[in-house]
Amino acid sequence: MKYFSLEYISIITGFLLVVIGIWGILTQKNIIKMIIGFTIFDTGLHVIMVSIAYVRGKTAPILDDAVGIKDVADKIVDPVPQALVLTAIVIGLGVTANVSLCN
Amino acid sequence: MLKNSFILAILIAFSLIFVSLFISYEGNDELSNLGKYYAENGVQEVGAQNLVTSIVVTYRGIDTLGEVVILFLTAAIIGFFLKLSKKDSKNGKRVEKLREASEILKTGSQALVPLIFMFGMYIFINGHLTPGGGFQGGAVIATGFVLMMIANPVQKVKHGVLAFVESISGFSFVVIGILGIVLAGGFLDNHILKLGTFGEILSAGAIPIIYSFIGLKVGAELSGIVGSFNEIQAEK
Amino acid sequence: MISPIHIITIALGTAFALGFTGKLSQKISAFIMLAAVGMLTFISAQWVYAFYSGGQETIQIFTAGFKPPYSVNLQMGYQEAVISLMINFVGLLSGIYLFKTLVKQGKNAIAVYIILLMGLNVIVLTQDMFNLFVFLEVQSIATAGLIVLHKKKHAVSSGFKYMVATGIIAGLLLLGIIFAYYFTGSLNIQDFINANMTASKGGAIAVFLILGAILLELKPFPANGWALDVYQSAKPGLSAIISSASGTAVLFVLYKIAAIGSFDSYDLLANLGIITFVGSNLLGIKQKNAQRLLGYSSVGQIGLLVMIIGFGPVLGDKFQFIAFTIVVAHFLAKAGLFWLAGIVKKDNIKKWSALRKKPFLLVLFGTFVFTLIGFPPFPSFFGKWELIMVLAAKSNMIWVAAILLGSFFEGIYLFKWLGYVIKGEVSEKKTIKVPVHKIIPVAIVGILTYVVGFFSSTFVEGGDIINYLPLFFIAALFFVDFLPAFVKNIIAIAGMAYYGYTFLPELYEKDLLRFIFGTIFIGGGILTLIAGFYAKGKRQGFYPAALIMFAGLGGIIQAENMLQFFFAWELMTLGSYILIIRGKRSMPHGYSYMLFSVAGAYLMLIGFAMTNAQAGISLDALSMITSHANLIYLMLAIGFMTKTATVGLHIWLPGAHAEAESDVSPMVSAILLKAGVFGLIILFIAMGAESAGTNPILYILGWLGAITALVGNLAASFQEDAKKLLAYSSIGQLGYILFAFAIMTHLGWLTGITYSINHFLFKAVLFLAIGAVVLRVKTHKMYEMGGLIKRMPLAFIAVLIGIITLSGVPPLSGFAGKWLFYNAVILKGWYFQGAIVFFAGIIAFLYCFRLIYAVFLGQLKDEHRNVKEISIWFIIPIYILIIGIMIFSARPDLILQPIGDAIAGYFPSETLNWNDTTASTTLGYWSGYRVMIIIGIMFTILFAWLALFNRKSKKVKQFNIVYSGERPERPETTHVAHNMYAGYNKALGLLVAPFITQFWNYMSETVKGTAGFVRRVYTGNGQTYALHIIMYLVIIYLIVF
Repeated sequence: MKYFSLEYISIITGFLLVVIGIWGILTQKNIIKMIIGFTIFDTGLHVIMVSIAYVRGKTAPILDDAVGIKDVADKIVDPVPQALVLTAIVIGLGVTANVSLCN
Repeated sequence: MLKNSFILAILIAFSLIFVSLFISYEGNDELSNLGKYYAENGVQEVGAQNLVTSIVVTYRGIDTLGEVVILFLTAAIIGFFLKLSKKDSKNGKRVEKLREASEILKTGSQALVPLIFMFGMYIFINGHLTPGGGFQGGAVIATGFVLMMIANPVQKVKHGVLAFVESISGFSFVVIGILGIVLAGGFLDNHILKLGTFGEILSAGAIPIIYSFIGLKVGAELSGIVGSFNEIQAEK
Repeated sequence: MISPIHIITIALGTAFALGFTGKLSQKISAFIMLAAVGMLTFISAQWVYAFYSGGQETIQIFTAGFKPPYSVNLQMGYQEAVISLMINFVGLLSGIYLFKTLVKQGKNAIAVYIILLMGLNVIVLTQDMFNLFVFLEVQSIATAGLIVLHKKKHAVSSGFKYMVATGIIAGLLLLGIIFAYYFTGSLNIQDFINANMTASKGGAIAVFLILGAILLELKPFPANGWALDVYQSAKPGLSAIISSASGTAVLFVLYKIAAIGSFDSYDLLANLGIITFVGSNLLGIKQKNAQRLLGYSSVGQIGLLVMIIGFGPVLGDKFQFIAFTIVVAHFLAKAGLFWLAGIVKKDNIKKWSALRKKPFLLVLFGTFVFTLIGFPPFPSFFGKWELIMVLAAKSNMIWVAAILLGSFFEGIYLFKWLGYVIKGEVSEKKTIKVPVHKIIPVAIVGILTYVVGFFSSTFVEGGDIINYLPLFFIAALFFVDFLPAFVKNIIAIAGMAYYGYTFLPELYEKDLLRFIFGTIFIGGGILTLIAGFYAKGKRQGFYPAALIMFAGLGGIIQAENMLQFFFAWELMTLGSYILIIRGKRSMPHGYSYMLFSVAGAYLMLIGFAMTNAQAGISLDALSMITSHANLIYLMLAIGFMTKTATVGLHIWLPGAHAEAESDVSPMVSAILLKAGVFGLIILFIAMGAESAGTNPILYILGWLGAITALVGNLAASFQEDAKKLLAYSSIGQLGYILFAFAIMTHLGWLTGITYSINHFLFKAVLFLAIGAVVLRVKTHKMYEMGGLIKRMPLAFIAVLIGIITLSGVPPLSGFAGKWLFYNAVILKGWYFQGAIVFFAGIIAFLYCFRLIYAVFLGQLKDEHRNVKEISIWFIIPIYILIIGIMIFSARPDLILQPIGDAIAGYFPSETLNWNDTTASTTLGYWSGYRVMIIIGIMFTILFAWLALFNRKSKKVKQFNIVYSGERPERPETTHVAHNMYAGYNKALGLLVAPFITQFWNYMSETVKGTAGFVRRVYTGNGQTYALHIIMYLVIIYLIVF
């Protein structure tokens, strides 16, 4: 069952969170719950991004004792989506703060 | 109820998009081209241990600038909103008196806040070496600020000071970016300082400096946002 | 050269620096901001200049010194420079406009404002997808912030809806980007394009999400409720930015990234764009709120541009021109209109009549409205023309029809609005305040629309020979509008005379047919302008409008290609519309005139485009059509017939002509209607004489002409209003003309030309005379006049000569027409239609009699006892025209013989034989000169006999009612001239029952009803709007995948 490995589980979780988040945005009458819907939506996206960065069996893209300088490319997961997710989190924060401000 | 089932049906249809995306996803066995380039050249070109940091601060520095701008915007808008709602409720009295914090909280916070601030600074100064960086550090600083607020609910937030820190660090960020054009290869190039010895705290060119400014800025902004929200809440 | 990266550094540096200026005053902060935006404008302007002057190549700016895709790069090319200049320019102007607001709101608002502009610049310049996402968010948060800062009702809730919508859209965009990264291993847009992602299903979905999100940012119908609320409740200065700058920037983004999809996705964009264009403009029809209406229009225009982007591969090298002209027109006009909304400060479009007290603003408003609809000389006119031409060349006729339908809907509400502005009641005493800093931006964009329009024309095939001279003259005249009317009248007449001098003598040698119509247009124009000396005061706005109309009429004559013709045609429509709605109660009629004209013009446009696709742009190409010829001819014919008011398309005419001012009525009736006739002549020439026996269109037009003649004349007989009577009579007369030309023989054409000249002469006389009488007696109602022969003998003689000419009895030139006509009908063999026209001719006697009897004979009314003869300024042109009638009656051969020779080329087999002054056909002969002498002798004998042998006649006192058949006391409904032909009405009234009016009313109600029904999707609830966004994507997904 290949779908039971880490990357599939996490990406499914991400998609589920996105759908749940949208459900919250669309249906909740309570504004706070709606805003929580937004954060769930964002979180789902971030989980998806991180799952996409994942390379099977590799570790974090930080050079330390475990990851030597020489064959970095064979040892780390993709740093790009991780960088993007950092940006996306802050943007999500900005959006959520503004949504909640408008009430 | 009918409406919700309708929405549910739409969402199920919408999930079809995700299902197709999921089916086309097969995980990765090796890095993408871009990832591989950063892994192979990141150390020589930028000199940071934390590859994510070299991407965030240097390779895609302009994204980070955008990010900082978004926080700045949020803080500015919320700050303005605070002014508006203050104007509106000038005549109305403050209905509820805030309760004093307990002695434990007060004393505890006095002990903890400096530590938290220090921890935050550690995180952003070491952003190029360890997991962490300006945003994380800034967020930690802001938690210290929240603790202060909980401990002294009556005390007013000094928005002027926060705004000043924010502006200075934001402005410096831009100036460093421009220095990149003048002294090195392009906007936000970290080569304006020497790359230094790999793995040391003063290495990776301008990254520690940039991250310090970002950390200060984010800390000030998040604190400002939380403070403003708190005050808007109180005004209501 | 300053690097474009400094757009970012300057903007951000300023925004951040404002924080530590500490206690610096808000005003200084705002000035600093303006200076910074000025710098941004300068940077993009210098790049535009560098590209414009040539030699500059597109450059890439690598941030952090690394090459893409490893770092983010910005691209500065010609297109980017232009778009960036547009953004910064409107940002600068809006900054000036919002100056006081920003100062009041403080530093935070100022910083947010400049960041908004920076964000827009970056999304235009950036070549990195994720960077695009970041700065898209920067601009949407900044926008939301500025919306919320406005303390208008609903501003906060609309900001909330905006954030919810853009939040979801941004999330979906992010999802698309991250999967695009997964499939391509890059974030660079160029890499995305090269990767051909749509080959795999996953990649296709990633593309779908990215393009869908950008499209949703452009507010496609119907998933755009949130955006409309924003347009409505944001501060006008901000709405201007959202509509002009943000709209343009995001459109450019769509253009930039559209290539990541496949050909199918271009198709999809085109479809969604046109749905938005038609749908949004349809809904605009029911809208009353000014800013929301502008929102609908913005959404629609942007939809059109999305469609154009979708057609990018089809349009080829014309794409840039088309997209640029339409986008720039939208950009300038929408910014201007939103700013105006902030000056007027009225939500309801009905209350915009407040603008009327500021003629300068009124002109700007009109400029923007006509720019949006695509009238000449504005850039959108040329853009739409090229668009339609190219689409037709690639035989996308359904698209052409959809575009024109959407434009027509847009016309419906914009003209209605224009009508409210020009004719609505101004109830309030206080005028609107116009601060200088608010008017300057509006004026600048207003002037720019003309400048850009002028330059656009030089890029269009056939546009370089458009004669702009009259337009420059009119523009100059507009600036001296403060002068008294008589001075302007002299200038206008001199200008017209010179304009005629520039082309008429040459035409006399080359093309007699054009010469005759040119003389009617320009010469007639000068004559009717003479009547304008009666007006006192300034008569603001009259002269520019009248001269625009005459410039258009002259342009039609001068036109060598279809673009020139259409340009002039639209110019004429524009001018005449403004002229018509100057009348007191003429608004609804002017409105329907405009709608019929626009619809007709669009049909013409389709015809021209189909012709151009086959045979080129020259007017002669009309005769070289190889396929769909009859369809093209039919559309052109309908287009021209909206101007000749053929039955079915006539409902605008009576009101428009009757309610116009006294000297405008002859202009629009005697002169303007001939434009349609001239168009029909061009059409018939193209169809060629050989089509006479075979083409069903001619047969149908012949019947239409006959029916029009009957209906027009019959309806004229039942009017109580003297000017309406004349207006209906025009419909009837134009029916004759149409019928005569449709006969398509040499004689038929001669008849048509004779009728055209006659109609010009006598209708000008009649309308001038009756108009002048109306000015004296202050009523249109005939039964409120009477006996005026004693007070106004000169007017009486004029009307008498007019109706003799009209009714076609000898000896005047009307008889020439009749004689030719019966010859032509009999030779052609159209007996049945001929009988109808003959019958219509008899009915003409009824209204002629009614006109002269009710106005001039019978009892003089008490209140008219001291009324004076009509103004000398009317008498002069009237009697010049009467001299013309006399000459034409006595020596018709002077005109008809050369004309007959001129058109002989088209009908080689048949001619009218002239022997000295006598014309003869196989049926008989006739000489105007001799007829006149004979009738003169008969008249003299009769008169002498009466004088000699009937001396017993006695003078009757006025109140001797036995002899006049009226009761002089009130009520006036007992007057014999009231409901004069009641009996006939009973018998024949059925024929003129307002079926056609009812039909058009029904059509308009249906359209409005549909608009009202569809509009219910906008519930005002943020969550519903979010649901719309999701549904929009789901539906597209289900259709596409």
